[in-house]
Amino acid sequence: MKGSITLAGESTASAEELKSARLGTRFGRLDLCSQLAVLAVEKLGIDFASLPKDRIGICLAVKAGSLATDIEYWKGRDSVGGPSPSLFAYTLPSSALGEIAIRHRITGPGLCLFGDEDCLVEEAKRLIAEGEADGCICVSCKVITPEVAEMLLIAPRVVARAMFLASKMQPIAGDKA
Amino acid sequence: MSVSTSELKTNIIESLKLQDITAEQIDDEAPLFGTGLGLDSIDALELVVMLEKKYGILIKDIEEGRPAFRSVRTLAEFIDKKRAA
Repeated sequence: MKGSITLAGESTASAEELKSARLGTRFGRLDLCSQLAVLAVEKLGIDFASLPKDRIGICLAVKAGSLATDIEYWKGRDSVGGPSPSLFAYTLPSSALGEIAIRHRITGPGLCLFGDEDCLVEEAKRLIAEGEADGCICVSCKVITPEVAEMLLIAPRVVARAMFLASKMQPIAGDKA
Repeated sequence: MSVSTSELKTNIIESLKLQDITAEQIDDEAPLFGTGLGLDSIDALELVVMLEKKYGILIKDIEEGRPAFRSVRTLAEFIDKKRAA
């Protein structure tokens, strides 16, 4: 392993917080999973603009994939004009990863894990240890709406958690090393 | 009855889920795409759906709608023309 890897930031975002989130004119277009992921990363308070964009990776774990968005999209199939075209763009489990990358202009490696977040941090550490990135944003999204919960027989929960693991890069605001 | 640009702008904000922007802040003549509101190709599709939902106008050929999507004013004129036809 190349040097030490430190936890440079950690945050969470809830559906309740989205109501007061002001993250630009186009934030409303994002699906629930992407909004939570983007807000959680924003709350890390890290100035990604000051870091080399191609050396930052993003690891995303989505508990139920894009199922909540898929359901919303499907509901629109019988409406006049058909389902929402912009919502269609989010019927991919990895779309939140793309939104984070677009917002912060990050061009480093990306990894989307479907399911629990068990190996999220380990994968981020591996990206750094193998020299593919100097830092890695880890985001775990659980968008278990009541409909998804009923389908998967699990408890409803809508939350995202973000962490930033870093190696070699400094200074980083709020570094907890 | 002519569609008001104010009503149209409200429908655009609602259908595109634009945040922190009011109908009054959108210039009738400003380009909808690129500069101006800065909309993209997915927004164009969303506007096509909005026209069908709110005004009963079906655009089958995107080339037909292209000139209409230049600005709020051209879109309002397009709606009026289609309704009158």
